[in-house]
Amino acid sequence: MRSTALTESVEEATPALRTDLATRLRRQSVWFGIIGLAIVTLLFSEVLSGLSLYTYNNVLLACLGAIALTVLMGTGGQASIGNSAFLAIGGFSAVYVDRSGLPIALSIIAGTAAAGIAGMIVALPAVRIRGFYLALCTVALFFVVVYVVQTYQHNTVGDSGFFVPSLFASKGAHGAQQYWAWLLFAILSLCILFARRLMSGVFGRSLRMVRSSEKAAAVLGVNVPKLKVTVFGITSAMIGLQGALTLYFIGSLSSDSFTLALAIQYLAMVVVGGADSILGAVIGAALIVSMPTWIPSIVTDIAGSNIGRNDGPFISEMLYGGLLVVFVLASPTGLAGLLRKSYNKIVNLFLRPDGPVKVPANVDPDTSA
Amino acid sequence: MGLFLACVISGILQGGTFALVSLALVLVFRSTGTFNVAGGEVMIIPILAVAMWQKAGLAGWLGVIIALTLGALLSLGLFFIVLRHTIGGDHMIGFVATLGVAAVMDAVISLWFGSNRYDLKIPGVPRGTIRFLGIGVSEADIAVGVVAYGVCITMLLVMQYTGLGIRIRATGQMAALASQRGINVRSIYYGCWALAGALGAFAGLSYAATNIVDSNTVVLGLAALPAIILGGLDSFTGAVVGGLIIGLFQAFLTTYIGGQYVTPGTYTILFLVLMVWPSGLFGSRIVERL
Repeated sequence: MRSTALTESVEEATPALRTDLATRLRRQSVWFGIIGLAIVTLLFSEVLSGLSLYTYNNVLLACLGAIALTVLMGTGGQASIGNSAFLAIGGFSAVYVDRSGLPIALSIIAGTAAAGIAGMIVALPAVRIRGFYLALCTVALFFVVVYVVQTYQHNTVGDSGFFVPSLFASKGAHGAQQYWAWLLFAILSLCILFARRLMSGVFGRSLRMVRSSEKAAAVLGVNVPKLKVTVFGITSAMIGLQGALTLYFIGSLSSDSFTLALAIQYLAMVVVGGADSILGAVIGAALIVSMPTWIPSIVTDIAGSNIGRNDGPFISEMLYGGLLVVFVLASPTGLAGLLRKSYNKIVNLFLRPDGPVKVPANVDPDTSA
Repeated sequence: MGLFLACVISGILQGGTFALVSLALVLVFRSTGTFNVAGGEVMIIPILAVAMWQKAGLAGWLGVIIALTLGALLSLGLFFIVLRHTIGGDHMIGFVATLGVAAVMDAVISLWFGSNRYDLKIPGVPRGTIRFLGIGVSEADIAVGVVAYGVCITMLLVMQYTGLGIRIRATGQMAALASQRGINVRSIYYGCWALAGALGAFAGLSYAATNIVDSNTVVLGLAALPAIILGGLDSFTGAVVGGLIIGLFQAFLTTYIGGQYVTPGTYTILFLVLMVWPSGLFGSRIVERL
């Protein structure tokens, strides 16, 4: 009896939801996002100077890692501070393949695959342990990986690091950045669609269930170990892809650039932008990657003199560390959550024919899509 | 035989520093449930500050007292400003918050001390060498080791047998019940964080007594991770024993295989322990379900 009543009430509720314009718009939000990104890319690649476009491309690259981390940590609840380890694996695997004379596409694929496999290995302890124990595993991985790549670099080319001909070098400095902007836009769009696919549907719901309660998820038929290994593999592969692309974007690679602070940066992107949200990851990446470019000028303006130029990186490190603390304590949904709240408010004011509707707090339009 | 003995001695002495750092981290974990990743920063800032002030004329025991006080205040401030708000919540929130704090403190260290290297002078540390079973051991190492393990053992005894220790353990196990039994939970929290800061600074002092320190010494805090996990995250005894084992392991690795393998070797241990035996030597099994 009760189940029939429930079915009826769901059927009653569904048409109302379907006709809700705001909800329909929300469900397609990923396409609006990609169109928006295309417009921004078009604008920036035409208007911006070489250096600013270089920063924009760095943001696009960082978006890959941030989105991967948001799927892993925000949706799946699997803590990881291993971003810089997977970046290093991606970059150094690519350089290894590149040096044996294979085409660029192959080395990028190799970097992606190697990071994915490493991710699955890290996930093995995740089958048994959770929370920051898992985060400690990724720290352990980080130190081991840094040692391996340092040794490899030291034994092959010395401490200055690897140099590869950067892609699109024939198009001139500015032209190369334009080509990169469009290439990265294309790759990022595919990754966004892919991440969107992961975060919705059965896979996304299973991930969120594992995040809330592993035991409940197992009871409801989710193969928790398999899911963890899968999600670690996929997201690490995405970070590895970023690492391999960064190699050809910058044209050089050194083990010194992979630090624990870098991994904390990615954590800050996800937390500040808003976990479990692609938009949040993009906002976080844009904010934190661009920080070192605009912080020094602001600091110089305030403090006068030349202080800002030398200390800019440290001041931005302080700033993203502080933001990470503030957001993790005060605003678990991050900037994306704030945006969503204001969007819902505006929609309630203008789009509903029957006036403002109070949305029950426990209904998340994202997860019901 | 001489080499083996030298390994054992230097491992035990190095382990003393790890044991102190681990003890500080376990203390705050047991009382407030926070895993403090910024422990290394709390440890090194007082040391570098005092070393810098020594160059400006600070001398004698005052430096040691200032370092310990600064460590306690830093740790207390950290708890008051940030980690006070994470009590009772998911452990992960506290963990991520301390990562943010670590980033901020790293930046402060870089801005304040740059890449200067300091030789901290601690009064009362002997400068001779004694012959012991056929090998030469520096008296400074022995003095530092004895004091470090002395502090560790005192801490263990206090935790196990005194009323204060019982109050701290009760607060960590169930704050609500502890407070109903008349324990001032808040003052225990603040006291534990202050004590952990002082212990951290003490660990820094024991390291600086025989080593040159600079801003990179901060990794010592991370090096204590394997010790803590190996001993068991919520066990005071485990922290000391884990520190000792990791110290010995590193000494043998350095002597017989090579110094460059210390970091990867130690973290491989961490990875393996987490994989097969997450509760460690002395930890309680409940920690697995965090």
